[in-house]
Amino acid sequence: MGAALDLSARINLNRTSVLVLDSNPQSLDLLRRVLNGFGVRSIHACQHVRDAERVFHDQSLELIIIDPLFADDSGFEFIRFARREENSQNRCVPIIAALGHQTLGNVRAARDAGANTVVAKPLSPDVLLQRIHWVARESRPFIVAPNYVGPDRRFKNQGPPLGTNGRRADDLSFDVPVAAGPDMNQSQIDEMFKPMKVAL
Amino acid sequence: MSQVRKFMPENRLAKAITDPNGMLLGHAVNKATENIEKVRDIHLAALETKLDELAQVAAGAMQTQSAPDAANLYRLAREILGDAGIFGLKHISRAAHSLCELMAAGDRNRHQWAGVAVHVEAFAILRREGKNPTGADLDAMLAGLAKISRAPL
Repeated sequence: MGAALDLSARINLNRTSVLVLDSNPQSLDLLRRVLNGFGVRSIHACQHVRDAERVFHDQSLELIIIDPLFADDSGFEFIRFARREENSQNRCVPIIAALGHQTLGNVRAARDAGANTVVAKPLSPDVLLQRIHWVARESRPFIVAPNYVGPDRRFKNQGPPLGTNGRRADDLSFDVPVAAGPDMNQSQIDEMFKPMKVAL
Repeated sequence: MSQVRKFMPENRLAKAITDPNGMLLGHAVNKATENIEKVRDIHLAALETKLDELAQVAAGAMQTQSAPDAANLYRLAREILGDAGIFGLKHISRAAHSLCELMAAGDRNRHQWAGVAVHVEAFAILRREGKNPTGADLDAMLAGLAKISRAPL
């Protein structure tokens, strides 16, 4: 994600509908102008959570950008609300949290509410576009659990915690089973990963 | 054991990056930057108003030392950080970041009001210095602010 933006790559956001939620009117206006520069024509700019909830219900969205640091917890609450709207077509839409102050607590709160990624303010167009490009390419599973709904927070699969078998069907067991046959040697392993031409 | 469901969602945004007729990212960044520059003066005027408001709110908050006033001050500091930074006013943005750190730390313990007063004075100095202040003294001042906001309470 930290890689520099490839300025020769292309993006077409003409038909993309974006919801922007920010309590700061100046920031909201600038975000709208930045997105307009990226070619986004359908921008729903909201200063209040209740307006954003209405847009979320009424529109088909491709992206949500939010500064969740409202006076109360309603910004983070909005992300949780979006993720838990089971019948909404926008439930799994990528959410970028643009934080005015990225303390560890704020970043964790955004992640645990269900945001896909966090970007620090002050925003620059290149950094925001990099994040949009990143969430567009992203193919993370979506998790629905009693305490969390959102993109899988495990970026790196380091297996379940030591001494446990994990909670998911695709978690590898910590215990190594007894070998069913002889180990593969290195050339057999290499053969498995060797790219080969196939007839199409 | 709790029930966990896992699935691959459709990413409708993915279509945007597979269109060969799309805009070059470099062009998109330039267009966005142009759009921001068009409203620079309006936003810098709004920033000045916000800095005045911060000074007023800080003066009141230092008197009342109340949680709502402290929260209002933190909000203004966050907004100034973003509003100044996007137009390249790095010194104001850095001072605002330092005030954010101070207010966030105070939220966990108790607000260091003397530190708030120093930050308000620093904003006044930075505004007197103009849009692009330079000099070792300013850097030293900003480093000093950062030390105050990181100091244990």
